[in-house]
Amino acid sequence: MSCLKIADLYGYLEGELSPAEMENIEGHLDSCQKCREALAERRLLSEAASRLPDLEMPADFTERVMAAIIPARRRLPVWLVATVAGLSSLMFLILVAVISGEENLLTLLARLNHSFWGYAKNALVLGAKLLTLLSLTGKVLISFTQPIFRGLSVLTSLLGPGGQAFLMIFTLVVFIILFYFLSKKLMMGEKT
Amino acid sequence: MNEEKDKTLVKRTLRGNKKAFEMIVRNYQQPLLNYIGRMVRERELALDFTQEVFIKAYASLRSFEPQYKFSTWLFKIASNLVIDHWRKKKIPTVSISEPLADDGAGLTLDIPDEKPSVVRKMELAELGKRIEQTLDQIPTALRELFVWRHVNGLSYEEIAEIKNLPVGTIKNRVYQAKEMIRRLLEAEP
Repeated sequence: MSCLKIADLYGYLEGELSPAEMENIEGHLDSCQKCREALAERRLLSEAASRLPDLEMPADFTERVMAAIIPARRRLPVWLVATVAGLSSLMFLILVAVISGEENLLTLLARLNHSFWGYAKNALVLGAKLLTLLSLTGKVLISFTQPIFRGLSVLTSLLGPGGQAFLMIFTLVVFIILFYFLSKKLMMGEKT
Repeated sequence: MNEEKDKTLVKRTLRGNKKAFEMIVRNYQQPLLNYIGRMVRERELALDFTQEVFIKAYASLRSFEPQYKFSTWLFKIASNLVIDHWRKKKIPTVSISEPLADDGAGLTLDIPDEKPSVVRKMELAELGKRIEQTLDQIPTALRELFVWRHVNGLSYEEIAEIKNLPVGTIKNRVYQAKEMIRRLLEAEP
């Protein structure tokens, strides 16, 4: 048998050859000093290559990567965002109530407890005027939903001013809670 | 690295668990740095690239297909980054699917008759240092395969999956890389 090829040497070293090929090579190695030396040399080389040391990793590398992946963003507190969202929802409900009701918002507010609304009265009157204007526009646009609004009107008329106020506050609280949990759920990577 | 554990960590990350991805980073930062560092040969750049691999992986984690190994997916991202870097720096890259200039000659046995075996003169650690130095002198495409095989301990099948090439081609090129290194060591004074 002639001297071994390089691929045979590496294949032999890594156990990649068939049993018959391994046997042939071993037979040749027994009788060939050159191939034994060549094999020993490559074995040593492979061994040394597999022992190359790790490159030095900075101690804070993981933290650095995580900071780059999820940068610390300046965000408004969740409770504040939730409150704003809840108030927006309340304003929308008031709009719906005004559109569907027989009386305008000013009358509705007047029937509510004055001490409760005292602090916000001026702002609410201003907002109510704006909403009244919007309601007129809305009435034109949504005339086709009149039957639904009639139904709502009947329902709201069953409640007194106290009941209406309670309903609004209750809805506001529900919206705040709902928004708070949804905002936590929808933030990928923020959960720990 | 445990394949099933990796896939669980990926799933947990996709569900929004930041700690799961942190564990992935901890598991793979060293192997990736070992590979990238030996490819680009600049420490700070290697650290930046390693970080970049994780950022890219995080951004495209939904595109990871679980039938593949997560480690090979990460090394593929790293390899693409390194190749882009070489292209930008106009470092010649040779496709490993193409035959090299000395193909064939590199696979014939060349045993010095009289000269003492070069590797015997060195202790293993010293030999490692010399190998490290000669890495710069072998073609980048071969260096990459050599590092994956010997430093990262990847199997030929894993390397073939990363490079999307037949296992036989990969083996042949790894042998060629080792022979080049051996000859460079032999040529040292």
